Amino acid sequence: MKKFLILIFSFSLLVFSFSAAIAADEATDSSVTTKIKERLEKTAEQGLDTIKEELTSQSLSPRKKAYVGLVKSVTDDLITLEYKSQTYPVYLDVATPARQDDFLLTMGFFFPDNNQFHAKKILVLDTPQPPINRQLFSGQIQEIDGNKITVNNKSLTINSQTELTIQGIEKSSTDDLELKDNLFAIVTLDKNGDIDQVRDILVIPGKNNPAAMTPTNATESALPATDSATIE
Amino acid sequence: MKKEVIVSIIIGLLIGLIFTLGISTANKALNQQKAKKLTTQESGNSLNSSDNNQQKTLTVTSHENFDLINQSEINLSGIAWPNAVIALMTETQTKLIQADSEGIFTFKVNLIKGFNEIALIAADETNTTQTQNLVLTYSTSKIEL
Repeated sequence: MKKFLILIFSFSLLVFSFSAAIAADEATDSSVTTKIKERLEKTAEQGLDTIKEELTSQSLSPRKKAYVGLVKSVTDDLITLEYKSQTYPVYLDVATPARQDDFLLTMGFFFPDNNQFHAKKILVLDTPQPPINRQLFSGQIQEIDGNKITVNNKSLTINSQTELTIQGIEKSSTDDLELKDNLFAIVTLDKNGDIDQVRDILVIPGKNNPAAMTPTNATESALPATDSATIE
Repeated sequence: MKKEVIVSIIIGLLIGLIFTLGISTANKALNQQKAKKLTTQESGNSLNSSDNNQQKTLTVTSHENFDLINQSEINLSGIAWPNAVIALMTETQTKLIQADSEGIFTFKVNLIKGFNEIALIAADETNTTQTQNLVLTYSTSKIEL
């Protein structure tokens, strides 16, 4: 009986001492981790606050702007401009001879805190001409006939003024084009809405084009392969 | 008697050691499981965010509409979607480029004196297009607050 008691006593003593040691170790680890976390959080918070302050001050500082448009209304201190169906109030810090239906270029400062634009300089311009009817035209190449390319059943003629770029080919020409290449072109349209001129063409080679195999992601700074890395 | 005490101490020591090792192994396993769970959650979140990034939008980041600029040559940059084709159209200039794998693009634009109407169109093979129109004014005249 005595032996049994001694055995139990010593066993419990040892288990207790080991557990206590491990618990103490873990407690130290966790307290250090908590302290580090707290310190990091504090530092991050301080940094974030500084960035926030800087961004706020930047976003609230006056910005140089220039509004254009047709004068819709004029008072002593406010002009309303209309540009592309939107109206813009312009507060006047200078005198202006502007009248209704004048086309103005107003330069000044936009104040984000009160959302107001104050003009410091006003120019009366000739009403601009309607812009050239240009479009981005795209599709797969269906037919190539010399300098004529058919895309989406529409014919594009490449001439000396057309800038042709084929992805992956340095000096591109119509000879490098293949059927099913993806073509993107900036075109000008005539009065009937037909393609008049082809200004720029960018071609993304399709499956039929060997240029599609050329890696395009390599940077200019990439070094050539070493001898040992070149497969012969 | 002495012998028995020593034997019992050794046995106790061994059993205690086994218990302690057992507890620490269990703790480690639990921590690893927690870490795995966290990693799975984080990768799930990043997958979601990459899905969101695949939304096809066009944003100009370098300039804002109606900005007044005192330089004739500017770098107009922005972000569309990966490998989108971006068209730039100004009064005097047209350019076509492809955005990089992150959708970032930059154009060198020569501004004319006065106001410049700039159109940017992003497109791809799926016929998705997004357009952004900007008015940037180039003037060297001094304007002060």
